[in-house]
Amino acid sequence: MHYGLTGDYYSELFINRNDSIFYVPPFKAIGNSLGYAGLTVILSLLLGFPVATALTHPGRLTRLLDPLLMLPLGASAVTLGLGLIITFNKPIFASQFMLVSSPLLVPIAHTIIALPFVIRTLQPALASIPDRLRQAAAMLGASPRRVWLAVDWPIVSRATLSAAVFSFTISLGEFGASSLVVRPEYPTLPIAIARFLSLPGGLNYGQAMAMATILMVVCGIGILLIERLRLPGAGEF
Amino acid sequence: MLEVRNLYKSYEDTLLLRGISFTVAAGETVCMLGASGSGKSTLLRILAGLETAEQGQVCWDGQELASVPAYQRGFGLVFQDYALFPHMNVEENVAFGLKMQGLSSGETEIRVNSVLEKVNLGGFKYRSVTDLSGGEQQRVALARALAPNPHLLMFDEPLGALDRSLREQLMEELRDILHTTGVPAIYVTHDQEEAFTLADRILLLHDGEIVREGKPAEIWAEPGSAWAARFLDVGNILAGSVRADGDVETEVGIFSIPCKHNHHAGDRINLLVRPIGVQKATGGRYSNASAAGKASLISGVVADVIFHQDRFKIVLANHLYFYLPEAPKIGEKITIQFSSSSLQCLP
Repeated sequence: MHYGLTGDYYSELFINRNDSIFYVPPFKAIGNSLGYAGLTVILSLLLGFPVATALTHPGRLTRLLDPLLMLPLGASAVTLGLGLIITFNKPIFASQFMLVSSPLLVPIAHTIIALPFVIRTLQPALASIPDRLRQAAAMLGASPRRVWLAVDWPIVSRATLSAAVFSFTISLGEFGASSLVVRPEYPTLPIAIARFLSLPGGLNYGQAMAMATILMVVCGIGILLIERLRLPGAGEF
Repeated sequence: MLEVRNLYKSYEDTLLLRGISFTVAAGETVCMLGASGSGKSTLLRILAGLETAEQGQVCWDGQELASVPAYQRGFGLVFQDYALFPHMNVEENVAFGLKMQGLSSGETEIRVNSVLEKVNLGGFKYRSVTDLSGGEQQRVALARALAPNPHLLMFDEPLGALDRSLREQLMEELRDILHTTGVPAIYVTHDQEEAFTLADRILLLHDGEIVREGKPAEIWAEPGSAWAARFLDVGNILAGSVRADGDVETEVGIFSIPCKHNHHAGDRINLLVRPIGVQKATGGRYSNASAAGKASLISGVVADVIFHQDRFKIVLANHLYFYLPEAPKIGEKITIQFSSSSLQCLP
């Protein structure tokens, strides 16, 4: 096997050498990962916005909400995956649909893991809009709709984009929960890398390295974007 | 012209504003002066349309404004904390009102340049507002409020967050701008110096009512009540009662007062003793003793001497204060002599 820079292993990613049942073309794994990541972004924003809004007006209930949603960060992702399998190991309501055997479980797991980050990113932006600004805009002739467009949206849009990229990147790189929850036919990129690493042979090793590089580059771009879009001085971890 | 009639507003079950009525004519700067928490900001927000009064009317040129929302009133408001849009630069902030009016970009640019010149921020067009100092931010806030040619400008303690020298400088500039643009203005503050510098007319707000209204010089000459005299720091207030012979008996002496009012014996009254234009009485003869033998004298032990540029503030042990050109020693017993024209009666 060669060492040094080469494009061979990248092109190798698109060829199925052996007709293995467990073989999934690596670019398909990349596709799965992107798909899961996209769903994760949508789900985490849909859940994250209401929670972040609620947290800007602290009350008795919301004080419980914050530590509850931070739990996934503290507990291991593997525990989360296990918990999901156990919980959904029966049909949903009256239907025959078993969530545990559906690939949909993966974006759900990713969403739960990404949620604390999304909320932590959205909440400061939502809280940072002082009512005075809306009043100032109104005094200058802005109708309520124009106030939202001119004041609320620009301040929140950056944070929303930042939260989306955060969510996307977390989903792409997630391994712990995915390893338990992913269906063998629809692996994610990290799962595929692990699989290739566990197979003998330089070709597999090389392909694993190639995929790992792709993963690194995509995540790296994601983090750079987050940094550019972050509201100055808000949302520290 | 703005007409306010009989405004009532409560805050947390207590009446904050009780029957406020006043007018602001074209080109006039009216200052609402009152202690913190007296409801001045609430009044301004009602005029702006950001809050509604429980009773009363606000009319502009005869038209009742209750049904007109804030964004359609055409009034400008300058806040104490500036409230500049952080995600826009100076130019975009100032142009905001013009954008809402639908002005063309060419006209907008001309107007923005002109108004930035007026507030002495000519080169600041493309600066980010978060980089500016407090004084610069307040000037941008002023420019932003001025740019769309409002019918009325309102100021909510705009200089409160600035240090003294900056405040004085901006007061002068503001006075200049208000005079040259001729926009009617309402300026709300608790600072008496700002009010006296800027106002054509002052409204004193106390306990939810306007207790005194008039030009600065008029109000200074006749505060109208003991509270007003204390609030404006006009001088010493002595509580006293009227004697049968018309003089007033107080804790520190008996004084005859030159007023023309009809006081009855036994009336409780306050005396205003102005601290300036007084002399230290030398021992022996007193000039200016009144014909009935009651000199306008107050004695006391000096408790404190404070330097005040070209004179000294002498505080006596009985809490009265006077200004003298020379400083006595602390602990010295002195007698202050003043003419009866330094005395005024107050209800």
